[in-house]
Amino acid sequence: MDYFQHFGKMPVVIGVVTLILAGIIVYLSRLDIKVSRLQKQIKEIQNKKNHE
Amino acid sequence: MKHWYKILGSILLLYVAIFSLLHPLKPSLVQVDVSALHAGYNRIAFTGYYTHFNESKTEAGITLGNHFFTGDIQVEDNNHLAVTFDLPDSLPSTAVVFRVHNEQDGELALVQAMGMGDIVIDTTTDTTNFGTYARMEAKSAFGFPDLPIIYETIRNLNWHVPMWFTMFFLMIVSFVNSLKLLRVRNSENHLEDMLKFDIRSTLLNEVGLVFCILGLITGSLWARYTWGDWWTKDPQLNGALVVFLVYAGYFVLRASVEDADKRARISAVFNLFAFVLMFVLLMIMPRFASGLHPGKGGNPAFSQYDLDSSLRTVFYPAVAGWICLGYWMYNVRLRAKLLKEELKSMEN
Repeated sequence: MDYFQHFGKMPVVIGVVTLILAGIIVYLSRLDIKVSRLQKQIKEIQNKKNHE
Repeated sequence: MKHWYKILGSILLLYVAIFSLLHPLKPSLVQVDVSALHAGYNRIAFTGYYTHFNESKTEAGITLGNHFFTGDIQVEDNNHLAVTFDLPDSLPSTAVVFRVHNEQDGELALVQAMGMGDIVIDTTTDTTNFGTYARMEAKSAFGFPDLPIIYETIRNLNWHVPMWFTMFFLMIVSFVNSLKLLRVRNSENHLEDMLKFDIRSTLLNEVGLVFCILGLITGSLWARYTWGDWWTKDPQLNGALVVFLVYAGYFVLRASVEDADKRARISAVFNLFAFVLMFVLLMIMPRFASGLHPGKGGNPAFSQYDLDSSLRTVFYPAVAGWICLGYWMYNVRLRAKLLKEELKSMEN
């Protein structure tokens, strides 16, 4: 506790900001994976059409 | 300009990040290193926070009513100084206040329980020889409010609270979409209309739930270092947890219904109840109970902090910026979902 008191509890603020950024980044990367999968599927369909 | 909210949100959040982390707190006196005063020689070390003891000519001492006791002042740095002075054998009361003032920081005071050592407390003490305290002209100090226990974490107001505002905004839009879904009349393409609203309200709830989780964990961390525990019995906290569980239940319910038409209707009805429950648990119930959140027990939220104009200049842009970002996240999520639906129809 002394450590946090010493800096006026500034590490708590840094912790809160970090958690929020981490949460947004996790959500974004999951969305990124979803979109990549869709792109792959679209490419497969296009390839199939080209073969036909 | 259909991208206006993305640009607005980015600018606002950039401003909020810089301002909320770098704006100083108001100067305050946080500590004096004595537990008892004595007749005769006393030495007190004062600790300030965001103060300017070195840069500005500072006076320090203790007051008792209008009387002032001060002496030799040694300034160590901007936040530390010590004052040595003499106290008489007898004082009229024990109501001492520790005071420091200078032009930059204004008037700083600290009230702390003090032993009086060998000093006799006598209301008939002759006070004619005591110095009198001349107050400095009150100056509005620059910075966020510096509150005991909270200190720097007042900056969290600009991060933790907008999470809940954003969740609320997304849930409201989701609620409206569920209402629209239930109003769809039987017609040629009524299933198509229903599924359109169903996808929207579901994804709004999904992004809303992300903000709910962020609000819960940031609140928990903040509570640990100000209220002393990761989780407290505050009504707002338990209400927020119930809201989280109810909206999590929404997704469980959806996963358990096979038929798309039925799923849309059932989850829309559930969503209406969930929204009303959220409104009651987060906006109404905490006002009837006393809790640790500010402004509870009858009063509208955060009036206590929000009265401070320097906090307001960051808090409102933060709420607007996070709502823009939340809607942006939903927008990208929705486009991914629509793309997936389109692909499905292409494959068939």
